[in-house]
Amino acid sequence: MSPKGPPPLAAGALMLAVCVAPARSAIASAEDLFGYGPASQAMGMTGTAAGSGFETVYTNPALLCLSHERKLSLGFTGAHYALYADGPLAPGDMHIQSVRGIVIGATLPMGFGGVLRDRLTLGVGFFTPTDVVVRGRVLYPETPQFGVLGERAQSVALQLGLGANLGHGLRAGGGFAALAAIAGKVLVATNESGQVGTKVDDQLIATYGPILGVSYDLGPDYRVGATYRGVLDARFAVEIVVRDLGSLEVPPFNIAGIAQYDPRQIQLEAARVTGPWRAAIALTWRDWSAYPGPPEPTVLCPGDKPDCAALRPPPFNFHDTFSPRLGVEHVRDAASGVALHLRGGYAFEPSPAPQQSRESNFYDNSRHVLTAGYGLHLSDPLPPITLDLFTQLHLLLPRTHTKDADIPADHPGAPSTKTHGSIVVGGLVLGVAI
Amino acid sequence: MRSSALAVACAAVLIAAPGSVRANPLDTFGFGSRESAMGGAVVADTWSFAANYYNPAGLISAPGTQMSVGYFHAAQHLQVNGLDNNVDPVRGIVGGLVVPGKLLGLPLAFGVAVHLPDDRLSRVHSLKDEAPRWEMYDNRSQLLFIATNLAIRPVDWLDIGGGVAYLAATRARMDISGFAVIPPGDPYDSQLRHEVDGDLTTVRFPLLGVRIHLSDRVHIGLAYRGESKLDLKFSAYLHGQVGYDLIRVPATYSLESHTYDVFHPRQAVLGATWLFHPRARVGLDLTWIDWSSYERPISNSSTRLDVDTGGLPLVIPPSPKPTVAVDPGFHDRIQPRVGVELIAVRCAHFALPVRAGYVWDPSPVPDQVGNTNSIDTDRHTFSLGAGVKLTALLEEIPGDITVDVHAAYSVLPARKVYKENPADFVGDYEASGNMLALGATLGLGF
Repeated sequence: MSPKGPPPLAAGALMLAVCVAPARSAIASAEDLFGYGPASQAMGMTGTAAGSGFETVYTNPALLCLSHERKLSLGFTGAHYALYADGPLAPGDMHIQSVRGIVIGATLPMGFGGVLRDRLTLGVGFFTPTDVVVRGRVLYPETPQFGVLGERAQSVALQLGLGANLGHGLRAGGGFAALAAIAGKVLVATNESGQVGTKVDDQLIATYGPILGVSYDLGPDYRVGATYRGVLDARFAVEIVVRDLGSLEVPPFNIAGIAQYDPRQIQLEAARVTGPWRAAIALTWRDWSAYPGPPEPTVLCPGDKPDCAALRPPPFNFHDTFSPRLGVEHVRDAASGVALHLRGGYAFEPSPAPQQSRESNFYDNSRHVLTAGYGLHLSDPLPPITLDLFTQLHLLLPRTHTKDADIPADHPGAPSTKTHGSIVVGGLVLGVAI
Repeated sequence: MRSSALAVACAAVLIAAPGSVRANPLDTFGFGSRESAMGGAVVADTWSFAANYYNPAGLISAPGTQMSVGYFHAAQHLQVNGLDNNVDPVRGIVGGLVVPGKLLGLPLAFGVAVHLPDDRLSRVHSLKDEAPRWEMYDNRSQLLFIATNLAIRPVDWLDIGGGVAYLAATRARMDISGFAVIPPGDPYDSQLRHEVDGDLTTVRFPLLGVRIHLSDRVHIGLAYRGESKLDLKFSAYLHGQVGYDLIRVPATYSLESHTYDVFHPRQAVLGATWLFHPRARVGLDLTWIDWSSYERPISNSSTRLDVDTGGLPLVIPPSPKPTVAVDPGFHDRIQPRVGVELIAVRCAHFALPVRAGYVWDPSPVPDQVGNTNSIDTDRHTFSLGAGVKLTALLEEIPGDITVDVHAAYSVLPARKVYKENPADFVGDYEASGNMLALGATLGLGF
């Protein structure tokens, strides 16, 4: 491995190709799928013990207190999908739209004195797709869709955290991630003069998910860490009431569903954090079995008839997953004030979704994730600037979904569908200490 | 859609309901306790997180890193013919961050500010054209404000700042399908389901500011805030069948609705601050507000229903007439603000500033002599405030701790509305009211 890392021109071209890809559709929560921060994303989405900088607001807020300089970071990231569902009644290329977005991060050491000196650091992490805050696609269950990878919400990530150095190698931190949900009501009726009118009451509501972390130094070279992230979901709920249709009385339409969902999760990690060669190994548990699935009933039964015959969505039956992760980093001081970071990693992301043998076609595949990255960090006597690049290749393990015998032969996805594909992710982040 | 279940399809519902972040609560009630107490006359004299709204160029004057958090509550007692209209109060958390520093020798500062309403991030609430409403103070104040700015000082006498305030707009396509049961069956037994394809998109408007230091005691400020509005589009198309038991008939239903809501006009502010005494300063601002561009939050709607009754005893109403919103005819306004600050007590580790301010907010709304009922009056706001500044109080807190409080009382003098049509559905009325805003802000400097 060259200490100077991959050819910068090739890496830049790859990043550019990913980042300028047209954004047309929806993806899942970016930080849950691809990690957050250029170093973590280059090192197999580790960072619970090995992380540093603004990205620890997501990977482990306890590590924020390792940052002792006020630093602003700005970057760009993108993901390109090539996902397929092949079969007699399957669409083939799923045409999942690419995503591109802006990454903004900051670390702010709290300038306390005395016993609090250099112990507290505030961090902010922000990812926003270039044209949406949250994208929610709640499709009919039989519609072929990559519900976890491609059909969950494309979503902003807003994270705020505080890390504290408790001494004796122990650190603790906490924060939250925030999302926006929508609730509203639309009333269509006719007024006294015979004109139709609509009353719309649409509200944007914040939802929060906690992020908690601890780390402990095992001597000067090794560290262990643990991070807990609570459920973060965004619900889309609009009630449509139509009146004045003569004798056509229709019930209120409950147009509702979970537009974005990140399950509760815990990541444990051990890392070597000093020396020219650094490494991290991690395991992430995700509580996918609690996922209710995106759709909700269109007609809600009234209180006096709770067992009405209104349709209810089918169960999703997701199961929990465990994801192993591995990251390595080689650090080389190329010159006075110039440090080069070469990074690589691997993760396995098992699918939480069962085989789609019934009416639903909510596809998902397990993934091998190969990652790489490159960092250039300048320091005194040079301007305090950092530039980090990363790329990821997600390879979906092919999976065949065979319908049960009682499913009609003309049902979408019948008699069987093979799903496969890949995702390429890339990005760069520029950081400046001020 | 499966044919076995299909009876009704309600398709292509498109909502574009910008639900979001606008500066209106800040326009009306101010931002930050120090600035609110001074009537907002601070375009040339702000350096805290509130500079993110009043003048981003002011961020560069922050003495150090500052974090602030506060809370404010504004009660609105707005009346028509002596009866309170129960307009919602506005309350929420305010706060922000200012981080000054240098990059390659150039003074630079970064700021973030947020006003976070208690109950919701934003609210879009459209009404029928003739429905009376307090045009300036109803849901226009139910908004999140988030702004990020950068400021630089290229030369000693000039500060330049700018940034973006964010809004979030909603756009969604909804589709409903299934079997719709109508009486004598039970509509709640309808076998309906739906899908949604929605986006919460970002809406941004610019914030720009300049500050010129004519001397150590005289500063001039200029700020610009861009226009934003929430665009609400709603269209629906329903086709398929309705019925009960084994009886089904084809039906189509279409709906079109388009609304602009929570309009935030373009604004330009010119102001000056004079430090006429080492312990006292006075500020005067003039704000031009582009109210003539205002668009009312009215739904332009049309629907059409066609049902082939097929002998069923159904009563189908005729298609209603579409609505078209009336031009509101608002006028641009110049809004004067004045504020003073006096350091009443100052010693090595302690300072006690007191503040006062006044704002005249002339109504841009013309006399509502026709069918529309946009209620508004002039507004006079008197504000007072005080603060405590503790410097290097503890070894652990070497910077400043500030606590600022403010109170602002607004008087909306009575305005009588006489309708041209003596048979007008609403009739003549008199509008008046008052508001009381209270707030406190805690600041921590490093």
